Amino acid sequence: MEMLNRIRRIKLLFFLISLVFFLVLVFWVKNLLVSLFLALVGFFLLKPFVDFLVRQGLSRLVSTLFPFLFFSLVFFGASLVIFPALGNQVDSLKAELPKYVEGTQKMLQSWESGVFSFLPVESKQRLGIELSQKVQRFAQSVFTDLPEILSNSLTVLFLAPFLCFFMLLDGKEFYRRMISTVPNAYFELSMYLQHQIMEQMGGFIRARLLESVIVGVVIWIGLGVIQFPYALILAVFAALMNLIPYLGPLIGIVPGVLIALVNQETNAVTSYIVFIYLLAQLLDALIIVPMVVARIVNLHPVTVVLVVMVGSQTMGILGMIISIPFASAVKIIYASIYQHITDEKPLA
Amino acid sequence: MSLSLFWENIFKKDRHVWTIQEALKKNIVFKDLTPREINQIQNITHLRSYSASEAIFKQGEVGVGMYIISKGSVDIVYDDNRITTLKEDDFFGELALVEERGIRTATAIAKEETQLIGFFKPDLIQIMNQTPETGVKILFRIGQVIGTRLHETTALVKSQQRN
Repeated sequence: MEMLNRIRRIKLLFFLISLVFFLVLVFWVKNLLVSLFLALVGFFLLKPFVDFLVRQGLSRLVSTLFPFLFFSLVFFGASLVIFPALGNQVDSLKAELPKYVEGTQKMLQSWESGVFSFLPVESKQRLGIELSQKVQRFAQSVFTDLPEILSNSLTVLFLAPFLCFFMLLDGKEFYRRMISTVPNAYFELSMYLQHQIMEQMGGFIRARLLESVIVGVVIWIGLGVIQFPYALILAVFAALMNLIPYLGPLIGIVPGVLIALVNQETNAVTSYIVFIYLLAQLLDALIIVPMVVARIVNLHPVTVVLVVMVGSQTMGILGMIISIPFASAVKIIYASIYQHITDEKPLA
Repeated sequence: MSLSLFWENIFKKDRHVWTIQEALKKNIVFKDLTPREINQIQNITHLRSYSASEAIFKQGEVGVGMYIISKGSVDIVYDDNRITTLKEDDFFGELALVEERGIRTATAIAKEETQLIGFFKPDLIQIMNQTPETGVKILFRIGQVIGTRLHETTALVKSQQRN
């Protein structure tokens, strides 16, 4: 009895030390958190394929290796086509950026004069300065941060698939060893939470990515048809922003409309661009959401706004994107623990 | 100590693994499985140790799976009243494997130092996804167990109504 308790205490201690060490490592080592997040996304995307191949009688190693190599090749092939086009558009946008910043500032100033006729004099000047400074700062930061983003991306590009591969190959065994150290009192709760989180996260990530890809492709094709400038960048931006619920689609539409307004496109073209963005959202709402919405954790719009704000304050755009799955996981954990504690009697 | 090594079967497999396989083979839920399938199940089960009077799960909590007693005994308690005591090779909690949100209808407490083999819903789902044939065999037997328990309960209620 005493021996059993001693072994349990040692196990628990090892578990807690490993957990703290892991968390310190993740937050301290640069790029590890992002790599881990992307590896997790890859894990959820590839897991159904791996499971399918295991079901066909292949070994775990071959089942993991096969989709991994296949998607790596697809990604490599796609990057040969998409990356150079994206690079060209980024270069061209970089050259034309001052024009768009100036145009946006002018537009803001003209709106200001309309809006500020209702406001007191002091706030007029303050708001006007703040707005133009913010636009300028944002536009500059996008390109000054770009080299650092790219060098970080290279590390992430190697680390994320590496982590993803071993998550698919040995994740189950690793999880079994970890959970064996959980004390008896919390064992079933931990199993339940892990199962719920994995189910919800898997559905959530697959659904969100599918939505984003559809939105991105529709916008790319739609803008490409009228040869609107930076169609690919705008599509990638809208697709990325679409990962943020409620706010994302609104943020995604802004650059497209701004470019149209600064370029003084005709009303027909501007309306067409708005229509394309709306069409993408409509397809998303009519096709994807009804299919997968039941499986996704529902967060209240107010919660989404607050969570996205906290995410953007702590980690920028990436924080905005990963804050939602993170908040969903917290919600599942909170709800499950609450029910576990309060459900004294069986439900009728 | 060193002499005992000379007599013991040092070629036998890991004692834990052997215990789990033997216990699984004897259990009705895994009765139809081939040795290969038993080996697959053994790899995903969890061996848990409990000291005397330690709760395995409590009434009203969310349950995620069933337990097979590989050593020791377990008291099943409903509203502070002991209903029964389960011994080695008995199993309990199988309803949680198939219920949507399985709430434990009774409390299970280790009567003495007890070792249990846990088989849980996430693992059953994984088996159903990866090897549906094995999943069907297990589910069929779980259905049978639940059906038998229902028959017994119905018979008991009927006999009590008659009295």
